[in-house]
Amino acid sequence: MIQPIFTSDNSICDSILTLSKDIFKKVTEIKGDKEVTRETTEVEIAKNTPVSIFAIAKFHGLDKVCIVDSSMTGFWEAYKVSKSLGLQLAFGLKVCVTQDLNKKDEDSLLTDSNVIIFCKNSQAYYDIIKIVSEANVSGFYYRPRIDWTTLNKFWTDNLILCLPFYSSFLSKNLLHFRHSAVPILDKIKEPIFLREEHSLPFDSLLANGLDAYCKANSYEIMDTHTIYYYKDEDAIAYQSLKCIHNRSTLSKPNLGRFGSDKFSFEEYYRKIGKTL
Amino acid sequence: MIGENLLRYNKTQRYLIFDCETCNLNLMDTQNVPWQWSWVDCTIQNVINKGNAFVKWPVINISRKVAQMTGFYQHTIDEEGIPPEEALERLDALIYDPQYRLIVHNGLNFDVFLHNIHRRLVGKPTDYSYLDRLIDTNALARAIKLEAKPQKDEDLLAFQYKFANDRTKGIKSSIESLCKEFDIYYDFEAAHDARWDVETLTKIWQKLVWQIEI
Repeated sequence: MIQPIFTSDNSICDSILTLSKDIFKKVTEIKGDKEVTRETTEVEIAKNTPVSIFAIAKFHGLDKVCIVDSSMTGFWEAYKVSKSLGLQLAFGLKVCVTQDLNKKDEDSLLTDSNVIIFCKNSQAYYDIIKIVSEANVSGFYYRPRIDWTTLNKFWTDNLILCLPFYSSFLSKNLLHFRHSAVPILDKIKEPIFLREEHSLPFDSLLANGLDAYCKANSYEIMDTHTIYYYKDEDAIAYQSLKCIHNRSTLSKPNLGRFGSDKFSFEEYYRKIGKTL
Repeated sequence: MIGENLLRYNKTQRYLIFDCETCNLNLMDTQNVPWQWSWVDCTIQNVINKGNAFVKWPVINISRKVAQMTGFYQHTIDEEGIPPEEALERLDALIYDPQYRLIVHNGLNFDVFLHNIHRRLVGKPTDYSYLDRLIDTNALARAIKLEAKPQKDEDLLAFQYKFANDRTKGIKSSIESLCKEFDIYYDFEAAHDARWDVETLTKIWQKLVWQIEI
């Protein structure tokens, strides 16, 4: 089973999907000699416009939505909309973990890696907020950062730790020279490592490293599919957004290895044997 | 002899040194078509064969600046170009042939993506299975300058990725810099024509192979 993980536009420039609740649209069609009006979600009629994660979920009959963002700004909206639409919400915060949050220099960046903290229950919100505050107030260096010691200090049983496929300590250490992110998982029980495949040339290299590490340490692996846009063809809109943020152009994007249009819901659907 | 399994001593190892010219630097956009592929089939001592394919895509959107830099002429494509399917067939017959070690400059961050764009445009699936035979001279040159060596049992691809991604200031690893370092003539007029690039890269590889223990 592959778990789809959506990212919303609350993660700045990391997605073109919204958390909008206004997902239902009226469509008028001519059938025979009659005009027929019916209600659908924006997904069906969207053309070169952003769509809501909830529109995708409703249109494709998902009963649960998993959202991972790099800030908590969209949490309340996601909670309210999912509740009003009768969808189960799993919310995760992607946060950078460094070796020492008081160390703010270029060398400290070599110890950075990302984790995803999922809320297990409603109390988790209060626990996660403490981590976010600390990361923003004390650890901020280009972006909010927490360190492993502080993460353990604030850790509770209401939280679940996941390691993202492309930016965990494993992939950072494997693909970057002098990178040395060393996790401390004292209080954090049973982390889950996420494994993905998006037709990138280094996917199998990362997957092999992940499999070997998890086997040696008896850690759980979950197959997931990160989604930043609806269709494959929307990848260019997503890339445009990233270029604007990066002050670059589509002909010279300077976006590292941005070489896949498979971070789409369409690709997830393909993987589970369906077509849009 | 100690180190006899090193590539530098393997006189029969076949190399495919290849390069492409494209419209821009986008790694995903299918409008960024590779319109020229060139390659040299060689051993460490001898060139066995050379190949070149201009690709006749229905539309090639290329700016004047890039056209000038890469020596793009529409009339060359019209006269010498071959269909994309045929060009890919010729190239893939070599790339997926396990006897070759593939040599590319900055290939991990560029050419492999462009090869994938070419494959997708002719309806073939993504297939990076050749990567474990690929040597990126840009990554290796950076590793040498940073005095790094692959650890025992370290995956060569992972080792190369580390340096392909490295942005240490002051490390020069472009073809131009390596030509200067190895006293190889750098022709500013011909540079960025894939045919010239692969011939020059062949000379660079013959020097570089002595500097790193792989």
